[in-house]
Formats: sequence, C-alpha cells, structure tokens
Amino acid sequence: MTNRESITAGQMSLLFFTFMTGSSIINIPAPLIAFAKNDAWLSLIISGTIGGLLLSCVLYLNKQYPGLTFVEYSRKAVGTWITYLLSIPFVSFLFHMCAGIVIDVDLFMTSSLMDETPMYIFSFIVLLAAAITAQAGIEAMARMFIIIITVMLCFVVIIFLLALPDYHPDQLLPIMPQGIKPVLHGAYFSYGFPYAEVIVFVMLLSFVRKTNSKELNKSMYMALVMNGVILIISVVCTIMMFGPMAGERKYSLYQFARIIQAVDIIERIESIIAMALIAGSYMKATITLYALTLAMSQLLRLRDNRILMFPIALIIVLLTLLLSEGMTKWEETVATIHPLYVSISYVFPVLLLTLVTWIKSKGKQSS
Amino acid sequence: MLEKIFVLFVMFVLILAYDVPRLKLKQKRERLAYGGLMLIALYFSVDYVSNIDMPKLHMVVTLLLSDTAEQIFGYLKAGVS
Repeated sequence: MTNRESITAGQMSLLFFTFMTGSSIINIPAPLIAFAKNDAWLSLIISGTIGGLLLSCVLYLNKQYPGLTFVEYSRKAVGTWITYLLSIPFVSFLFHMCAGIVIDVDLFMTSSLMDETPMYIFSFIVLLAAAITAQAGIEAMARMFIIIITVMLCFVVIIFLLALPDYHPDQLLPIMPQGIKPVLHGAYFSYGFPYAEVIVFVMLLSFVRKTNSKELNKSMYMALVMNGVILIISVVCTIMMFGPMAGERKYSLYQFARIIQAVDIIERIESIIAMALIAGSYMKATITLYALTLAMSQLLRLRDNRILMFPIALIIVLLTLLLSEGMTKWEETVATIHPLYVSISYVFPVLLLTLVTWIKSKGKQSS
Repeated sequence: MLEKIFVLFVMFVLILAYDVPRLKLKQKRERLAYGGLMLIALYFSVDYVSNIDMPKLHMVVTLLLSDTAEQIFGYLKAGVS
C-alpha cells in the first residue's frame, strides 16, 4: 500500500451499517416473506444473531492482530500456502458478491423502470462510479456515505410513515401457523444475504485508528443491531401492507411506495425507493470493490493496492453480464447456492483462523 | 454482436487510457498483476461476445454445491404449502 489511511470507529461502524443495510432494505422483504410468510421478522432475528456471532469472531481477530487485514493475519496464523488456499474461495466470492449487488440493480432497472435499456449500461455506470469512489479511498467513502445513507433512510422512513393509514396489523398473525420450518428457511436465506457478508469487514477493520480501537466493538455491535431493527421494521411494514402475499410481489417495498397517496399531491413516489436501491447498491458495491482490490493486492504482495481497481471493476462488469440469466434464475441462485457458497468462502476461513488464533493464544498463556 | 464489441472496446480503451500512464511508474510485479487481470477480462469478453458459455469458476461452484444446496432447500421447504 502506498499510504495508510485511517478512520474513526464511528466512521467504520457507519460504513458497516451502510454495507449491511444499503441494498438489503429493498431486496430482502419480498423473498424473505415468500419463504417465511408473516414470520419473516423471526427469521431476521435468528439470522441477525448468527451475524452477531460472526461479527464477534471478526472483532476477536482484529483485536488479536491489530492493524492487520485478513490476508496479513492469515499469513501469520496459518502460513502463506494455507492463506492462498483459504483466499481463493474468499476472493472468488467477493467477485461473485460484487457482481450480485450490481445484478440486483440491473434486474430492478430492466424489470421496473427502463425495460428497453441494455443491462450493460447500468452495470457500467454503477461500477464506474464505485471504482472512482473506491479509488478515492476509505476516508472519502466514510465521509460521503454518511450523507447518502442518511438521505436514503429519511426517504424510507417517510414512506413508512405515509403508509400508516394502510397498515393492517392483524396480518402479522398467526405466528408460525406452519411450524418452525418456514422461519428457518427465511433465516437460512437472510443468513446468506446479508448477515454472513459481515465477514467482508475482516479486510477493513485494520483501518480504524488505534486510539479508537476500544470504541470499535461497541459501535460495530450497535450498527448491527440498528441494521436488524431497520430490516425488521421494513419487513413488518410490508407484511402489514400486503400480508403474506407480499412475497409474490417483486420488490415489495417498491410496490409499497406505489400505493401511497397522500392529500392528492404526494403520489407515485416509488421512484424514491428506486433511487434508494441504486444508492444503497452503489455504496455496498464500492465497499466490496475496495475490500476485493485490497485482498488481491495483498495476496499478490503489491505496494499500490489501487492500481488493480479498474481491471477488477471491468471483470465485475463482465461477470454481471455473464451471470445474470434472468430474474428467476438469479433469485434461485441467491436463495439456494448463495448461503452455502458464503459459508465455505467467508465463514469457514474466518472460523478456522479464529480457532487457530484462540488455541495459539491459550498456548502462549499457559506457557 | 457489433454492439457488444463496441461497448467492450469503449470500456477497455477508457480503462487503459487512465491506467497506462500510471502503470509506467509502477514496479514489474504490479504491471504483471495488471496484465493478468486484463487477460481475465479479455477471456470474459470473448465469452460475452461469442455466447459460447466458456468455463468459469461460477460453473464449478454450481456443479459442486448445487446438489447439497438443493437438499437443504428441499428439507426446509418440505411440508410447507
């Protein structure tokens, strides 16, 4: 790396919150309700708890190896060759994930707003913007995203408030009419997207200023809880509006905004949700692209981690065009393969490193 | 096909126009890594333009995981109407 940047614990937790909430607030409700029906909020509690456990592993590793990223401390803990072995699925999933975020935007735009426009236009624009932002560095990202996420959340909250007269709280009942399986199915899905993706921050936590490291744990857990609360509110509001049938509506939050009509002048405000989806996905893609470029540069032992930014962004543009075989096929991939793929690529390496580090630290203490 | 080639040409030209002057100042290792990634991009470009469905890592992942993933999916879905 050419110059080491640093951000505060608050800025890191904001990036984390942005990453977790950005695209999921729009993309999660419909498929989650399709799997878990009106118990979708219970699924989020289960998967959020798993996300919390994974976050504690990430924070433990960061505490044990201050100032180092996943690739660097993996080299220390398990050696160079096992690091390469663990990093292949890790990096491949970062590529897959970043492409997935952009595919979500592409499919949304071509199915809801601009169906005549070719997908490469959206992929190229989103990734070009993401690459330019990531090139500016993590400090610039942290400063910029606070504005975008605040505006985005304000819009979403306003939409939830405007829909108050249309809510039917009785739609939330009964709880678990079909047993626990639909809840577990929803939890399995939401564990894959977004909670297991917590692991991406193994590449980024080392950027927190050493003076702020004590506050980091608290603010990261706070960000995760905030994310859980917002996703639960989003799912509960969608169920109260459409009932369990919300799962059959594509982008239910977008459909939700379409229905709102207040005092004859506030109507057709669904474009605000569209903007929120694009902004959220852009921010998440930027953070993922930054982590991916950093991981690649450290694996290849390069001094300048930003020189690979644009070729990686180009590969991701091409991946989005090659992987998106239509909405149904993509949804099936995300619902079935994604949670297993993320477990092997992200969760397994981090759990292994946590175990090795814990055993090593116990050995040191006893000796 | 011509449209696809034109779009890819524009993307490659833009990226190379921005990066080549910077690359001249970099070490050999960085230039090699950059070249390697551009070769991967070229491979995917050929796949995209020609529609041959050339081998990709994603295919290997799908091949390895799809059976297990479908079993889990089927178990969780069983008995739910």
